[in-house]
Amino acid sequence: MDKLPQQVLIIGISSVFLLIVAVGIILLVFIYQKRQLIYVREKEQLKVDFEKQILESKLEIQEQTFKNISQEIHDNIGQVLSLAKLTINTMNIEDTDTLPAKIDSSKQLISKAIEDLRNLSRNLNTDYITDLGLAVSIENEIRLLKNAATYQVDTVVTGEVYRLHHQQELIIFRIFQEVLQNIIRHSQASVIVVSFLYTPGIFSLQVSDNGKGFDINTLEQTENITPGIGVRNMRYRANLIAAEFTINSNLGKGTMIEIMLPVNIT
Amino acid sequence: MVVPAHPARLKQLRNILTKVFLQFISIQLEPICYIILSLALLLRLRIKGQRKIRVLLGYYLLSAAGLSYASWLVFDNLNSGASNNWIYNLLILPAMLAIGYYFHQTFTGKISRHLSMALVAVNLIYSGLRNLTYTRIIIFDSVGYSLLSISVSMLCFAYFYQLLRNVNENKLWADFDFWIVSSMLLYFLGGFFIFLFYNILDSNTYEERELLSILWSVHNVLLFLSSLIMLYGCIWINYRNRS
Repeated sequence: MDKLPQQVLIIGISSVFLLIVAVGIILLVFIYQKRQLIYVREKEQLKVDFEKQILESKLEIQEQTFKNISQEIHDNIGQVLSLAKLTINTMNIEDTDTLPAKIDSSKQLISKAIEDLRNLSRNLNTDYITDLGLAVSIENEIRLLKNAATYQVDTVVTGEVYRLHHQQELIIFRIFQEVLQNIIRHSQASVIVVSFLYTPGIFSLQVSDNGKGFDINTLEQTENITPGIGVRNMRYRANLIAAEFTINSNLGKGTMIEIMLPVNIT
Repeated sequence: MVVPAHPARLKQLRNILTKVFLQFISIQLEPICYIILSLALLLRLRIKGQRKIRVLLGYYLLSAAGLSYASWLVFDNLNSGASNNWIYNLLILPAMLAIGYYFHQTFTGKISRHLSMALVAVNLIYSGLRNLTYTRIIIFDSVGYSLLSISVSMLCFAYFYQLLRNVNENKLWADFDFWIVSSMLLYFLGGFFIFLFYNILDSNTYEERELLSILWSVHNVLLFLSSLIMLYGCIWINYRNRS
């Protein structure tokens, strides 16, 4: 007769134990799902923020591009075409001595304007950069700079060249263009060195000049108030592709800018 | 003409059936559970071949074979007096190795991995030393099983901690590890208390032997529920993946 209560007791204890474990696991699932909900919401918020940042960046790039086009047309193409117009205006059909030279000069000026327009179009065309690749696009930019004969431009390529994701290439190219613009406008440099580093884990693009340099700390402070050389903008763009943007500069000792992108090339 | 059954005979029949049922639960259910567990892992392996699952499957198959032999020995024991305790004692080693390896592969954190290795080492050292001599190996190692059970329970809790720390978008039900660990927790946590009682009780008196038999039946029921959880999880994930 003692056996029955003993069995009942064991079964009772076992049932309570099972109940506790079951409740524990259900509770765990409940907590997990609650945390999962928070996680998904946070992730969605991050995605929205990121998309907003991308959009802002795109608008900024677009604004900068319009500014560049306007400047290029005004300073370069406009000037050349004005000169061509002036030359044509001064042409006298009866003056056979100067006429051929003036026609020739006009032809040359119009050809230059066409060439400048072509270069401008190439620089702005995203598909063109995507098709050519980062290395070739940068080489083209360097070639144009060399043609101006104002700078000595050296290129150093270390490692075997490979292609990056087209969006990464485009953003790096735009940063490079901005760096070149800054060198031309502000640096008063005579030598520019562009170094590429291709390793299986890291892609790096380094641009250095021997210009007048600047104080980075002062720049960081003034950039918040007035538009400077767009360091913040460049750093921001680099962040978009998870690249590291480094700038080193000292007064009178030139500037070095580096974009380092982690890659996984097998 | 139907002859009405005599109440005394009915009672006798009921007693016999109850005895057979209890005998089934306390002796034959255990290898069947390991066969169910092996089946669940085999089904899983058909979809996703993971080394840790293969190792676990190896242990379950070994247990199924060993415990089938152990249950045969129980019947044989009535004639020859042979004990099956040595099989249980020997199974502690592959159990801790396989389960420890499974958790080591499942954990992502360094501390949890070290914990799994440390617990495996403690269990191996204890069981290795405990079962060195013949006189010890033929006595059921309830302390060793308690140690194994609490170790696995700790690893299960570490897994759940890891789960709550690394929440992602995937559904918890779709994670086979969750089912495996839940089934292990149910069995080993329950088993821990049972093995502790085993350590306290002696089998000298008839009452205590009866109590031990009931406790072992509860242990087997826990193992059965645990195997059903794993099988259900596997079938549910398969069904979900197909639909």
